[in-house]
Amino acid sequence: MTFVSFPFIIFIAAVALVYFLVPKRFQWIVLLAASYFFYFLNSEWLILLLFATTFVTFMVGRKIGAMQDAGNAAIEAAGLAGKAKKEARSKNKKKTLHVLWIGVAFDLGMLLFLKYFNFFAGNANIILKHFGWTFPKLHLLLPLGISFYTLQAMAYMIDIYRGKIRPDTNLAKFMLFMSYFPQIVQGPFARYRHLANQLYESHSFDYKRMAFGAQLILWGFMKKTIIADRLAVPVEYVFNHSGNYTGLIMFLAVAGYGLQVYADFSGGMEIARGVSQILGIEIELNFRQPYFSNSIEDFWRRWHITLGAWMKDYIFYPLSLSKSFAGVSRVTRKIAGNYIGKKIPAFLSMFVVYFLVGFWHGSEWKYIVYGVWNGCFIMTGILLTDVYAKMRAVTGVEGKISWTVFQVIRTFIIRSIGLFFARAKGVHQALSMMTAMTVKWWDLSFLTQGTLKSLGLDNANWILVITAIIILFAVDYLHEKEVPIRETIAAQPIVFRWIIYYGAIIAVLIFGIYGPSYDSAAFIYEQF
Amino acid sequence: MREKAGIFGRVAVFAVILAVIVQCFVQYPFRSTDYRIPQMLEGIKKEPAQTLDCVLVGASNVYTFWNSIAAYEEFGITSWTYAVPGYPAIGLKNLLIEARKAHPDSVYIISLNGFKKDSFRDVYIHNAVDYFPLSANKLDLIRRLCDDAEIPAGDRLEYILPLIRFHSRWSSLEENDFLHPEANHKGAQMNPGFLTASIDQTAFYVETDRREKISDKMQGVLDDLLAYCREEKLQVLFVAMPQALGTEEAAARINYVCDYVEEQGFDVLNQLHETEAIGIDIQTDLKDRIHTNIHGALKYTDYTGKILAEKFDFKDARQDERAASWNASAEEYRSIINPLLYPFELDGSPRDPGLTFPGQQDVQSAGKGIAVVFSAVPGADGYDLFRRLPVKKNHVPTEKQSWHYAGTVVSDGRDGTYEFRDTEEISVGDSFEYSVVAYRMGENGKEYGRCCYSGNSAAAVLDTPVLLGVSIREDGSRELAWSSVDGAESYVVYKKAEGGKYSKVAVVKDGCTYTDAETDQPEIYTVRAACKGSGGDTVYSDYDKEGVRAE
Repeated sequence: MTFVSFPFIIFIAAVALVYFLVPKRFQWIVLLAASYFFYFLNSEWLILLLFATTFVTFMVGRKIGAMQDAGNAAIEAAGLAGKAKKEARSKNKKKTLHVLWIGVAFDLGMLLFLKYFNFFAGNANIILKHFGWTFPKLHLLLPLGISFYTLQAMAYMIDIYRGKIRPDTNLAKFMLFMSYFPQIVQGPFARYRHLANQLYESHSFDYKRMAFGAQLILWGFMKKTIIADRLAVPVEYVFNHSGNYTGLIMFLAVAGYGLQVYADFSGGMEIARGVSQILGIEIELNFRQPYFSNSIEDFWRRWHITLGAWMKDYIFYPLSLSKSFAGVSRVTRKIAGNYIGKKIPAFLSMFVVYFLVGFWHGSEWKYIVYGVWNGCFIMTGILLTDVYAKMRAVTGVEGKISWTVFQVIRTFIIRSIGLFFARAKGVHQALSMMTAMTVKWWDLSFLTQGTLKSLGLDNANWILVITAIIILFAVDYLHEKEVPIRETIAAQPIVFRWIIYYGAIIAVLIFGIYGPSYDSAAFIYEQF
Repeated sequence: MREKAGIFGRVAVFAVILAVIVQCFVQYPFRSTDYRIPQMLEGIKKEPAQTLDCVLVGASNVYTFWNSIAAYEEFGITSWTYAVPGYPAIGLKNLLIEARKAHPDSVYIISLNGFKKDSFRDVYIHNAVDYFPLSANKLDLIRRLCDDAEIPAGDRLEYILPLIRFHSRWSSLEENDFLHPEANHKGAQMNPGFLTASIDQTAFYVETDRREKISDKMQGVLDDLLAYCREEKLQVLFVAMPQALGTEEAAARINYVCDYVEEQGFDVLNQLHETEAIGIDIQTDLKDRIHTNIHGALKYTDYTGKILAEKFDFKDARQDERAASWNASAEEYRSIINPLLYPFELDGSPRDPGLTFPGQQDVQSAGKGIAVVFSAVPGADGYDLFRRLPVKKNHVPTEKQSWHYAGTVVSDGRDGTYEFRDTEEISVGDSFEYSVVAYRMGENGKEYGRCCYSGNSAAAVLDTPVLLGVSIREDGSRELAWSSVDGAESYVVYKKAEGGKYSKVAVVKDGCTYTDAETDQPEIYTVRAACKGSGGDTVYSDYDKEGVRAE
């Protein structure tokens, strides 16, 4: 049962109905049952792996919590104060760290084994085969959303270790936190302190909230079925026949892929947020108009926001604030001077972050290159901040609309070109396509020679998808300008309002790509 | 509480309006593209209650074999073919239930041909259910067909909302998808394939006396159908229509089913191997293995209609209040099919299926006329030739393109070929299609043999003048001469320099020579014959491209 299917709509309706009909103290049980049912339908017995991660994470959390409590009680009982108290706490923390490592090793080990074993084995075999030994290739099944729930579980344990949250005491409720169905498919990464209580609390039915949630779901359907799955057709064609094309069409294909992923991923997020909103649960925003970014750094603050936040909290800061990196900083400052030397440890951390961002997307080198591509542009941007500022001052473009437009377009181009690595079959194809893109890039003859029609969409479908993209950007622009679209619609007379709703539903029904006549594409981020 | 009720009400109203919009307006143009289905399934409801003598139910063979207009014209029977392309026998009972909602007291003629196979393609489920109004019967039909095709429960919604399956057609929708032209032809067929196709199915026609038991599943379906007919005390007749089934097994199964139904006390017409009695020509009267074309349909209806008229005491609709509506439909339908029929088909002349059709017909221009060459048919006393304005392949002829008698060639008893030269009423430029039908003289005049429903065509064109040469006269001028062309009213002379293009130099109305005094350089001459064509415009012959050279 995918998000974009009639059974899912019926499922949401049934869950919402039961959720608001049962006594409020049982609402979380309804969600837990629905989440496990949904997961089982999609992954069958791989649900046991989800449960294993949940159980170990829960037990580790409890253990860390119990050790922290015992340690604090001992400090209290001993009446320690000042330095002695600090030392005792530090000692306790070290003890809990061992338990944390067990939990992280289990959760991460499961992810690494299931998702990355063949990648590691394949690379190791390049060397090992010279010694007459190789790892076998395993046909491993990947549980739905493992990349999401594993990182969520790790964040939970680390937050307990850091003393930011108290461990959950109810395994069943924790199971709900780990499996909450709207977000397990493709996020967003939920933080325990933000989501858990919302899931466990009771919620009353609210008509306005339901209407707003339904609007979000509908908007998500439109993005996914009208734009993303339609753009997938020409994009796939060009990437599958990349040897036949050169010039601008290559760029259009990769830019189209970027828009496809955006419509697909953000569409899925709208559906997840919409479903949650109906139930009275607010999940975190994962996109904030990324195509209006003025730099790649800005882009990653607006794109997959919760992944960036996770990387910042659990990789970047721990690394850059670690003792070893402080040591590195001292050395680099001596060698390269204060300005560069101070930045090198941060850049190192950033490199690791974007390496992992790429690696998180998939167990192939191309994803790592994709991550590093983005990291490199960000680091260059930071390094040249002062230079850019001087250039802006000299040219007098600061604050001018044309400068902003230039920045947005520049970011769009850099981001799009980087996607060659994510979409191509491998690094080699990505580089070939990037090279081919530069050949006769000014040649626009493909617009008049029927090339576009040969990519799998007829004229009507091209007109439709271009119109839909314009609407998508118009909506994003209004969001950027903080225009409350849903509130504006809600303030309209009922006839006008309903005409909009009916129009949107009918648009999805007719123009959406779904059902047996289409080979409906899975959500792209479901696979991560 | 009141607030909750208000919210519930609002949601309910929204859902109901949405359902109405989707069900009635949005998905309407997205139903399957075969216009015959709404014509048959929805058209029957427009017939006033108690006005149909009989309703024929089954798959597409039903509406290609039986022609309700012909049955009315010939026997005064009002009938309706309530049938769906590819309809599986599993759903026959549901089809019957649905038809009876509009016409409960009609005689039901049920086709048994569907029992020849055990399974069906799931795409046909749409043909069956898309045009049924939402009802318990429709849901039961969906369940039965989907269960049989092993379609998972989650994928069955598309059968209630066809839009789910067909929405990808949005960019190719056309006017007819919205209008669904439901021509008032009482379910009689008018699609081009049925009207024009004629394909020899001899290789697939299998006859057998054998009986082969059907599968337990189909036996259950059959028993269920018979039980329904018995319980409802329906006046029914089961038929097996003649088809080129391709395999002996299929024919043996239908034989078995016919016997079984008869044993159960029902009336059965097993016509599977009655092509000869019916007069259906397997070579020409089928449009494919299991469907007749219009010619086969008229023969089948004529034969079976006689049986029905004798068996059931139908009141002659031509004599009562139903006549107005049926006459109007017949007139309209005839205007479509009559151009397809030979004059002897229209006037009901006797036929002699023993006479085959003349082979190797060659039609070619013969000056101002057209010559038809054909081979002799053993036993024929003569041959009637028919002509019509040419009809493009798979196009339905218009009234102007009807067959007309062109002439007769009387057989002199020899084998070999005969030639007919058609010159009467033919002008240069006219193009005609010809068909030859052999006949034998019987007691009541000509008895026509088998015939093709299309012919070969040719245009009457002027022959190309033959260039006889250029002679140089004493004064240095050149005299070009050419052969006379039958029917030419003038000749146009062209010349060119070596390597250049021809340009017109003269029009010669008298004689077949032209004298050219302007002779400074070597030149090449050619000539075209010309005359007034049938449309009043000048028609030219071809010309000798090489021409004749003069130094």
